Amino acid sequence: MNAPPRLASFLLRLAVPDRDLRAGILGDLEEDLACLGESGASPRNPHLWYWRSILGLSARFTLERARLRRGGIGTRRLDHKKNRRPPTLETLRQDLAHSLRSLRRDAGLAVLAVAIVGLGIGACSTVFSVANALLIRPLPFENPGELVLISNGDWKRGQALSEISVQVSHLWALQNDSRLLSDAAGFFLFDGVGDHTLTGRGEPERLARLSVTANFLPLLGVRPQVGRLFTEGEIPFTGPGPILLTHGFWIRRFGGDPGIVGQALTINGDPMTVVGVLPASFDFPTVFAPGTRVDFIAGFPLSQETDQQGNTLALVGRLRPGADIRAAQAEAALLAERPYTGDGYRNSFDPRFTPLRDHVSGAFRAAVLLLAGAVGLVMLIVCTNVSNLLLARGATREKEIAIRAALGAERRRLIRQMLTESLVLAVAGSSLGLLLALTGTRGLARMDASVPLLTEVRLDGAAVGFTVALTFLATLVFGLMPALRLSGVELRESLGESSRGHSTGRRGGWVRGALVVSQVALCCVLLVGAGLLGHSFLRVLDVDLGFRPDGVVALRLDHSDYSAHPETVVAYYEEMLRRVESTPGVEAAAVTDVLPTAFNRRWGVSLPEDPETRAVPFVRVVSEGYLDVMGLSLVAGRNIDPRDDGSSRRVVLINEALARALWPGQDPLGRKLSRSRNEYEVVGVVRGTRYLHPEQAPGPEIFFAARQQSYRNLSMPHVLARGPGSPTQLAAAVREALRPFDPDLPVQQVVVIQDLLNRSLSPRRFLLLLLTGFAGFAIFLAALGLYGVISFSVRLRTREIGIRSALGASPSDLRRRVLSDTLALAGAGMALGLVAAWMLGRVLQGLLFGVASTDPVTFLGVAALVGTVAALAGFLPASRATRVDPVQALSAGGGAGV
Amino acid sequence: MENTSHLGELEHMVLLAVLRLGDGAYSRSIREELESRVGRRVSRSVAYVTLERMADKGYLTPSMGEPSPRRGGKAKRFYALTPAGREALLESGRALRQLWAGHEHLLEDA
Repeated sequence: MNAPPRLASFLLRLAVPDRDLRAGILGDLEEDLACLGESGASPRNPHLWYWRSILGLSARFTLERARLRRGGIGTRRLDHKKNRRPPTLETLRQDLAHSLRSLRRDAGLAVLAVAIVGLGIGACSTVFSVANALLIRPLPFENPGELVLISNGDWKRGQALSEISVQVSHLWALQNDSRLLSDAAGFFLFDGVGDHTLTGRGEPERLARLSVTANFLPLLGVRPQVGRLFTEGEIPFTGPGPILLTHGFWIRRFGGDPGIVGQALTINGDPMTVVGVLPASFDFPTVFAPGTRVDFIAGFPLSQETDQQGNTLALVGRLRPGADIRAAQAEAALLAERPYTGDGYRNSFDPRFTPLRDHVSGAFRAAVLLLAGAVGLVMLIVCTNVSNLLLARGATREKEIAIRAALGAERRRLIRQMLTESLVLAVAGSSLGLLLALTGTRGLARMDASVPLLTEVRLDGAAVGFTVALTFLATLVFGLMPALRLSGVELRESLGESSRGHSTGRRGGWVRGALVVSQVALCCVLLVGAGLLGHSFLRVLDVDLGFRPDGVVALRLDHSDYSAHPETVVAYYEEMLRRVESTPGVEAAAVTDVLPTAFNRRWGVSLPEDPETRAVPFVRVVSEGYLDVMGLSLVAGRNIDPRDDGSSRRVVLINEALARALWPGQDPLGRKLSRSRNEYEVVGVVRGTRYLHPEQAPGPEIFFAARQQSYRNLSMPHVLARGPGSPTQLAAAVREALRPFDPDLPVQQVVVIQDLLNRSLSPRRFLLLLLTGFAGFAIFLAALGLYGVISFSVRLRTREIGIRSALGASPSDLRRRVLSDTLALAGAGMALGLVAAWMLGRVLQGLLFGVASTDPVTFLGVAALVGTVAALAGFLPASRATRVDPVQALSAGGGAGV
Repeated sequence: MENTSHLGELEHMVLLAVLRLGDGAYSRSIREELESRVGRRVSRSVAYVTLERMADKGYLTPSMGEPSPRRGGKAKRFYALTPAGREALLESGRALRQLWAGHEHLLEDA
């Protein structure tokens, strides 16, 4: 029995939607054929007979339907209603149904296309969410556009905080006399994380305080979730005062109990009354100090005493509506120059106004824009790839399209039909993409990176809107080209071509080739970008820090009893050190008051004989074990030793940079320098360290002996321990050694020094991670595109290959032929892409470290990688070509083309 | 009935064929009937479209028979006259007969 061809039945299904009628027709056809057979008149080619019959039937039914739709002839009351449905909706429904059916037939391709679109749109929406949080969405404050950060000079990374902060009297001047600022407030810059200890409520805990002026929260427009804010009058100079809890701390420590308001907490021995709890939406660190935390907020008193403490505050101002930020800055500069009439001293103030938004995310602007550009390239690749898939598929569908066009389907209708198909793909893909973006944004928001507003990254309405817009755009971009190409196909040409066993898609070959070349090119640009950043990252990791962070843990210590006798304090620290040193698993221990990357305190030092020769080195107060524990190397002289105590000469260690600054070209050993009325003798010189940030070259450094300072003047004292075990084991050992010694010492929070450094590199890692992900995805897509095009062309040329192999071409000849086709496409793409990357490299310059944007290693690496991947992508089709059986290829005739 | 248009020639013939064939009226038998009785060859597609059009007008009701292997496992689609179809056929026949009445001889003579 001869069944009708599938494509023909499908065609009939389009023309005759009624299932029973269609069954009747097909049954009749089979019966006709059987009768013809019995009467000895069976058609020579039943296939063709079926085609002819079904084409005729379909054409007639299509015409009939068209006639009916136009209102037709005769009385057709029954039909009338049926055909009244709005034609656009009806055709949309038909198009959708048809798209689903036809995609289901090519399920593999549909799944692949949806996955590609999904990954692309997922990446796009995720990056959009990041850009949205950092650059677009308003800061989580009232009228955030009016907020400005006011610093003393430019606020740059690595700047000493005392250089950018402002004295209280300048804040008063702004509050009282500025006409362009409606208000100004300040927050204290020198609160160290863990300066405060909560005791008397179970396990003691180190807390992070934020001190703000009373008007700081009202200025930002923050309202408490529970209780109230504190007022100016309630803030004492020292001692017990009102505090506010941050939402996170309230939940973590008190389980969100509103009853805590009104109670007193013992912090550093003082009863501090909780007056309110801040809402979750107020996240100070995420905006002002990414990567840190705040547990409670206390008031910073504006008084004569705090004024005389010098530069302590960072200022935030609110511009009056309509006020110009530059005018306000100029006004502030005038106010700062007015002669000072108060008591005591006043530091200079060079006001710089920065929109708060720029201060917060300005440094990340370049990175976010880079990511946006990268994701744009990815999306382009996705579109070209899906276009290519649809084109390749279209080539096999040309016959169907041609027949439908011959049956009277308008070109417009065909285009709409095919766009519907890509819309279906795009909608499915973007649903997947939204899911991926949901996961992606959640992952990013939880990432512990020093990127501002990262916790604010989420998929919101804007992101969803963006995705939807992107979907429609993608549909147009990747659907239109195949649709336009296919809808122009002529019936005779298409059927004729394929029946001669020629390529049906050869005319489309150059389009697909061009798409693949552009994919490879875009992919190269991304790979070069990721490669340069990756290379930079390796350089950063490779940089000589001047100290060894691995295997070191730190535990915060305090002897918070300031009234204690100096000897008691010294004894406390010495005993603590002795206990840590004798702990099993600890090789060396020391005390320092500044951890790497944590705090950039600087003190001015000068020569006693020449006060004009000054330097402002970065200061650490340490015990003698410090060089051993942190792995600093002594270049000349000796280390601090136990004999350097309160009764002996005051000594310091300096680094080479400070030595060069104070005594250029001379031997610094034995020389004297002075620091606030005391003279110190330089006993040793050490190599410089990149203590603040691995990417920041060492500046001048000075080390004071902790014992000679009676362990006073310590900024954030920590005990450091180095050991061969894992940081966790080491931390546990130190904790157990110290717990019995001081039950009030919070021992839970042990800092792993390596983590501090990792955190300082987290923005770079964050960028690299995303960009590498994109580049990986891009090369996968490019490989897929190459593979698709090459294997398709091998399939089309089966006959040619068959002839070649019949004429004696060896398998390796054939393989070489196909591979060289692949490499020609890939080579063209690479050439374009590498040139483009070379020209675009300048954009990256600011984000690179120790690598030129034209780094030959990266470029060669990318070329090698793309070449290899291209060869792999071409290898499968190439080996398929060698297996073509000439006999089969030549006899298959018409079949080979489809 | 004034406004009812009369059946077209092919429609008329097809309805008569359905009437004559009774229970066995389906597309193939109808076409054979027309060809053998009056030598009228109707193409497959025209037959279907005409039958379906008249089904839509309510003159015929389609129904499916039993599938048979000879037909590739497909059933026949039978058509039967509805009362409206009967009425239309009668009306058209009457109209033709009225017009013919007493005039046959004019043509036979010629």
